[in-house]
Amino acid sequence: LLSDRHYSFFGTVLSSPVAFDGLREIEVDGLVQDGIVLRFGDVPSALQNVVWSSPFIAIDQSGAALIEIPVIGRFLVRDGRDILFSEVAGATVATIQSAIVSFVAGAILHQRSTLPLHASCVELEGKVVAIAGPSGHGKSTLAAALVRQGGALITDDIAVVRWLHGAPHVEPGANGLRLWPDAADAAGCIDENWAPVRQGHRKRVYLAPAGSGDPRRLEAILRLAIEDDSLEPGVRRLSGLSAIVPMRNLVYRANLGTHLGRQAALFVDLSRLSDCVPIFEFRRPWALSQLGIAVDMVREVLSDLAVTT
Amino acid sequence: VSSARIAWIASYPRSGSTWLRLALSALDSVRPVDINRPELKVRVAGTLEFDEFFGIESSELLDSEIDDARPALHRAIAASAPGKLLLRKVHDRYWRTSRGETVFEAAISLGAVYIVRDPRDVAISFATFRGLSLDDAIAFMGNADAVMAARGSGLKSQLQQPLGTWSEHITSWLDSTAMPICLLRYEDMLAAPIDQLTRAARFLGMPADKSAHAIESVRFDRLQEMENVQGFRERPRSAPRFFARGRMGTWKQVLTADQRRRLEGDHELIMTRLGYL
Repeated sequence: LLSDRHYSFFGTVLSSPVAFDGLREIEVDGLVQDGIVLRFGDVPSALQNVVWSSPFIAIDQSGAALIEIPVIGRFLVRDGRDILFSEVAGATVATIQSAIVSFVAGAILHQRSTLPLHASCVELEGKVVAIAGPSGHGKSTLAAALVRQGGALITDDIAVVRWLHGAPHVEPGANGLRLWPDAADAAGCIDENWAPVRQGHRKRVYLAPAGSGDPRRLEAILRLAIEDDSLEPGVRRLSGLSAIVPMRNLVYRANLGTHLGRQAALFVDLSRLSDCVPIFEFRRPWALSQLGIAVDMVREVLSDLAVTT
Repeated sequence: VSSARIAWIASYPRSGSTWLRLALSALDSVRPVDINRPELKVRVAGTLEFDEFFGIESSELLDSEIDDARPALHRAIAASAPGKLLLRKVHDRYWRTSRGETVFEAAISLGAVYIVRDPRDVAISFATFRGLSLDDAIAFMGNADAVMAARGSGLKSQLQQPLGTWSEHITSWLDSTAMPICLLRYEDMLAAPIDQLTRAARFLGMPADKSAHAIESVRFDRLQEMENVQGFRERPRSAPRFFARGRMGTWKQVLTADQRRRLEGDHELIMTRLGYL
């Protein structure tokens, strides 16, 4: 549609009839090739031929995903290209946008056969580092602290890897950091503007300055260890299989990828990635008050890279 | 058999469920107990598990949406291990969602081992564990809206678990007729651990012939020593140590007369029913 706005969306273009302020708007000349189109319309309440379902998502034989969040609405996500959305009265644009960069992205990026890491990426002193791990391990928290130290946010929570000239690059994502209040305080985001991720939710989105918008070469991957009193803080280079398993700790919604038939391909992609980029186990000090030490540990990893490469 | 049967290891926090969990793990294990790697057969309802089973970020969901999906989560867990007995530790009271669905469905449940401990000792242990004053711990135990692992200002690794008051917690499980319940008193577990572990094991259909060995391997001083040397992954930062004293009757030295009266007043009926008064 002529009236559509276009946004950078993890390496592709999302065309939308509504304006999203958390995504980077881009100019498009002529037709968008291979983009994603958001439309509002009637979404069926159930799919036929369901092969897998949870209270929130169902996947059918064709790989279409029906995502339903009762107070937001229903999204029908097909072919990695179409998002049909029927909203629940009262859902704000910010809430819809938030659902698209989390719940919907999980399905559509696997439909598009990408490698979406569960990671936040920051460029620090010219080097891009991916901070990877499942929810609650502190990805966005550490990314926020690095941004406060002069880093540039490339993407938060989801990092789509793209191969350019044989080297892995990270596609820019949404330009917000999603933080719980305690993490935001620890990272020093106290005075900045934020909005709740959703109406009635305590997690917040802090808008970070947008980077260049180009894919950035990935230099290192840090896999955050889970908080564990029995482990000392430290960094350890991982090799072989240990670098890429369990896959669910490294890939965004790996289980959806599995239900969409992507398991073997994801494993191949991760193996290729681990051949090109050093992957580290990163055990940060567990107390949020010691976030500064974690930042120094990241700096050390990056400066060691400079020596060895 | 199309799905697993879940046995719930249920209790109010700081009532000895971790100790029972380790003892049950030791029952059919040939390896020595390691508090940090107890062949984790007994799991707690966690956010990672929720995200994994449902293909969605629970951190982006509202508390009410997570609560409403708990019954489905338990069904998914049961369906993931056909024909097996799964031990699941919960601190929830027995409750229903806003849609009226019971969270612990009889159809997927073998039953519940419910552990109680003298609330006067619970208050002391809970205060240390959470970094609260004794008065605040006592108030928490009398708060009908109390929740464990609530996502106040930050994400928690466990899903939030409604507790209710200490008394309500107990009656919600003991007076529910939904499933068979094996009631264990913490004080009996201290006094006659082998007998009580054997009771729990028989209830769960687990082999009980190694109860003496299992109890020996989870002796309190051993657990404390292990925590001293290697730490304990389940210790919250608010607690100086997880395996604190584990004794009974500590309240006689620690609580003021007023604190004792408040607890006994708040929970008189249930304390009497369980033989604590």
